[in-house]
Amino acid sequence: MPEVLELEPVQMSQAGERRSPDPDLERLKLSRGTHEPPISVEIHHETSLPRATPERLIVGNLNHPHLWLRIPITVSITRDESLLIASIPEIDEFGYGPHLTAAVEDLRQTLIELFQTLKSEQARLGPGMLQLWNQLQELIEER
Amino acid sequence: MNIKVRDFEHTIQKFQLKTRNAGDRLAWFEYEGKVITRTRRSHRRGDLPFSDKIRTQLMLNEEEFRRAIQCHLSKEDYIEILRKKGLIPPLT
Repeated sequence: MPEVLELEPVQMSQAGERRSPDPDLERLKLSRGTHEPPISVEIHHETSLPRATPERLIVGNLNHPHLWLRIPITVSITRDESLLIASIPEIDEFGYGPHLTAAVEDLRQTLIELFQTLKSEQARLGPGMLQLWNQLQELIEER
Repeated sequence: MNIKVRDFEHTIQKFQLKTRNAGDRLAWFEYEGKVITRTRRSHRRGDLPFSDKIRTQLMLNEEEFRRAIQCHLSKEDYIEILRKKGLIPPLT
């Protein structure tokens, strides 16, 4: 005949709440019949699950017929409300979207548009924008 | 600090940024024919995400950005901030 194991939580209040000061810790008493001493079991709940989204990502191309990345770009991934943001802090540029793929694609489109805009306006760029244009040219080449 | 679309629009109107609608709403600040700063916002309504990115693209620190949103920073103040950062030539 199979052995019946009974699990019962310990230190219960009248309201049925655990009294343990640590909400992530659940204590159970494992009974194996009247003649066997109970076994205490502690279950630790993980409240901070590992991040499914990477903090950084390497982007190797722009998916554009004429604009290519000279070197792979390290992109920082952060979350803002329900959106993921893919950013390049060195040039203060970012893309966003509801998921990682969309955020990275938006960043690609932003870089392409920024490159084309600065290229067409390069004769009238202020010092900050000129510096940005030079940084972009170090990242992106036109073929 | 989160801002709303109307805060963004009010600020770029006050600083007289030029705008263009593309996938996002693009805005850039010009001074004496030169492009000095640029930013963009999404077309979504309500609170704008990543307003911190907008702030850094406009070259403002948190206090300056807060004053801009609260309408306590004029276009002349903004020009002076950009001048102190070397983004606009000094007055001669």
